[in-house]
Amino acid sequence: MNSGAPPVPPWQIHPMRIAGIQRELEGVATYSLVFAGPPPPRGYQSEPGQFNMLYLPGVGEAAISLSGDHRRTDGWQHTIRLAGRVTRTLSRLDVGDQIGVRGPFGRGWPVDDWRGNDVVLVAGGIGLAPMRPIIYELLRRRSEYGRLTLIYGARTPSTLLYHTEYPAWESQGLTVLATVDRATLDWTGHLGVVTLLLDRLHLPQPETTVVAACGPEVMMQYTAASAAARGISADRVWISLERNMQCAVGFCGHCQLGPQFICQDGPVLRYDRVCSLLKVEAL
Amino acid sequence: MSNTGHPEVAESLPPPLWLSPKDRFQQVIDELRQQGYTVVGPTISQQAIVYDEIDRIEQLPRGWTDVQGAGVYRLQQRQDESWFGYVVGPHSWKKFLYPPILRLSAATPTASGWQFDRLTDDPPRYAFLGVRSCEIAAMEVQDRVLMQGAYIDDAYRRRREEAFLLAVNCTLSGANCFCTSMQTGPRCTAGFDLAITETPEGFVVETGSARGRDVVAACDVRPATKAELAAAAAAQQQAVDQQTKRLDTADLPRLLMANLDHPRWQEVGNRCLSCTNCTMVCPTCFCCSVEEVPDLNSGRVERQRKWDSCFHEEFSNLNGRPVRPDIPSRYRQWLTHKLATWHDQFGTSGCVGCGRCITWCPVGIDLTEEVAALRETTA
Amino acid sequence: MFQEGTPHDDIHLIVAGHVRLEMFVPGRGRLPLLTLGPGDLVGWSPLFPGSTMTATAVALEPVRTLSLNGRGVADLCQSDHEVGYHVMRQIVRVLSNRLLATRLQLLDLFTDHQPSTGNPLDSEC
Repeated sequence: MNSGAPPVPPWQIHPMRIAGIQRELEGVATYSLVFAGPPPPRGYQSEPGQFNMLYLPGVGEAAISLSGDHRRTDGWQHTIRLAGRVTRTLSRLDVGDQIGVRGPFGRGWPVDDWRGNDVVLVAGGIGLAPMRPIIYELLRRRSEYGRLTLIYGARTPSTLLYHTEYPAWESQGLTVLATVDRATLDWTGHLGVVTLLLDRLHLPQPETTVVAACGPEVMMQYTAASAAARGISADRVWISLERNMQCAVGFCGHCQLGPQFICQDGPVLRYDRVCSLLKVEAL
Repeated sequence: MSNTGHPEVAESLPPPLWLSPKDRFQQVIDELRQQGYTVVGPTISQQAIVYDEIDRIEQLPRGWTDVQGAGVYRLQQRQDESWFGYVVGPHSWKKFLYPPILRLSAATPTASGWQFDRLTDDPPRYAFLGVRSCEIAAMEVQDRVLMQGAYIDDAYRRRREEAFLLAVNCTLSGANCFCTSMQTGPRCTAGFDLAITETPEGFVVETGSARGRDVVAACDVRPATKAELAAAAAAQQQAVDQQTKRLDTADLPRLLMANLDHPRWQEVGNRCLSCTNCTMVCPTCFCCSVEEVPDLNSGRVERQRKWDSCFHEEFSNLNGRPVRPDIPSRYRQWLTHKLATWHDQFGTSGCVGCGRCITWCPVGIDLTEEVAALRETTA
Repeated sequence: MFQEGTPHDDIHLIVAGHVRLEMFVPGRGRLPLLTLGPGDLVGWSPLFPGSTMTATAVALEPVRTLSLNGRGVADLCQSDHEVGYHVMRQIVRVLSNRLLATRLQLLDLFTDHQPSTGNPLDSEC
């Protein structure tokens, strides 16, 4: 982990209260969580790209990335899409209700290492959620980075996540290029996949440009291919992977991709370390 | 943990001792129990030699041996009265160190919300009687997984540190044993508190730790003679000489990872039933899952860790669908993890050459044969 | 810029601005397909005289293009196969990228393609 802080006790569950629910899109909401009891010594410390295990007793746990500003000391935010039993049960809870949380876990985005570079963020669908902490951090330290671009693809204009924040991000120095797969005639924005925007993006210095991608695996692979075609090598591309997470601490074996435990070696991984593994079907 | 390796302890450890007649072995069991250990050792149950609590030497499978093959296990009476004339059965010490079901935590509903409590258990101090060299190696493999990573499995650590290892040097090899290929045996060289070698007349007893010394000091032992040591060495050599199965481990991780699309995976996957026997009997497999166990009366919910297997179809479920939907991909996962990626993760092979997976596979899949087939048909 | 189903003389390379391709489906009206921008090729059918445009192209803002007469390019390729090879090779590359992008769009990657969640064995992502 980047912070060098001692690891979290793995099975310790913290009671947390839902302090706020912000509906983002159909079936997607951001939950703000605060510790119900005394916070642990680490408080709300986390790294961009890490995740928590949200626990509903009797139902189970779900691995959800932190999606807020990681430097906030007043709570954690998770943007959750309805997917399975746990998230569906969670969607029936209200402000004030309590859940259990284990974490944070995992290796996050190496934002410090990107200083001095042009940064291209490529996100798809709900994949923008684990990247939002990067955006806040990059904009907070704007002068330490070169050109900042976000290429974001969603299915339709009504599913562009966090779209109310794009103007603020633009004004703080992030170029936001949004695109959709499907639209009606009244949409005058971009229509087509994110890789087209990356192909067209002006990259003055590929050798000092880094790409971070988060979204469907197919999207991330073609993003890395586009990056390579533009002269950005695989060791300058980072992706965030998803696998079945149960223990989140490297014991249960479920999340393995070849030698990588996605819960510990990831979820953020440098692309050159996994590109050959991702090309094998059903690995 | 046994065998501290401290220099001052090593100097105060006795030389090899002699315990005879063999019935005096009951003193060792009694002393262990006297010191508060729960003795677990080999005994016959349901036509197999398993590990269970014992307190009498009469419960040991004296005069029995196990005939093993690919998908074959049966007990057979020996011509002699050897106490440890068999190899390993369906149980491994994993059953005690990494229990199949472990209660992790509990959530209790209260007026102000859920109360979450860790559940710590109070396991007995085990004395494992009859630990083979490959089994010591398997424990050391699991030590790396469960105690030497970023997170520590506390339940395993407590059991492992308390466990007394009374090892047995094999005096025979089974048809599926290949510990010589994996360099995990057959002789126990370290990692035990006591190690015994059986000869017709008695036991040579080697002391590996202060704890072992303290147990054996309470028994009727004396230093072993040269002749007795020679007899023990000859008996140990039988295990080496009898071993026929081999696994060629040269460059094995690279061989496997460079052939992930080899047609052999489809071929073995068509034979494999995905029954999970191999993962259950393997002494190093550690995959598990966490389940909710609610109490309908009180509303209290326990979380329990249970053994799982990468062969289960839903093991790799992501958004409701398995990443490895077919048996060939799951077999490939198991074998490449055991023999290749385990090296990247933990610095050793995951296999100790005990042969259990071969014995207990209902269709007789032999991983040494699978590796040989891959070697033969690749550049 | 041009209408679906009609002949058109030129192929265009966009220098500045954005163009949207659209197709008409009876009962559903005009449906947008794809946005093209600087560096993109718009239209290839004019290279094959006699064919008609397969989509309607609409400029979303003031657009500047480099336009080449389709028949002229086709004739040049025919008479000078060396040039023809290089031109066609470029066009193949453009079209294969366009095809990949279209396939990715078709895969509908951002939709939750989940089986029924009634299965108690469902586990979370």
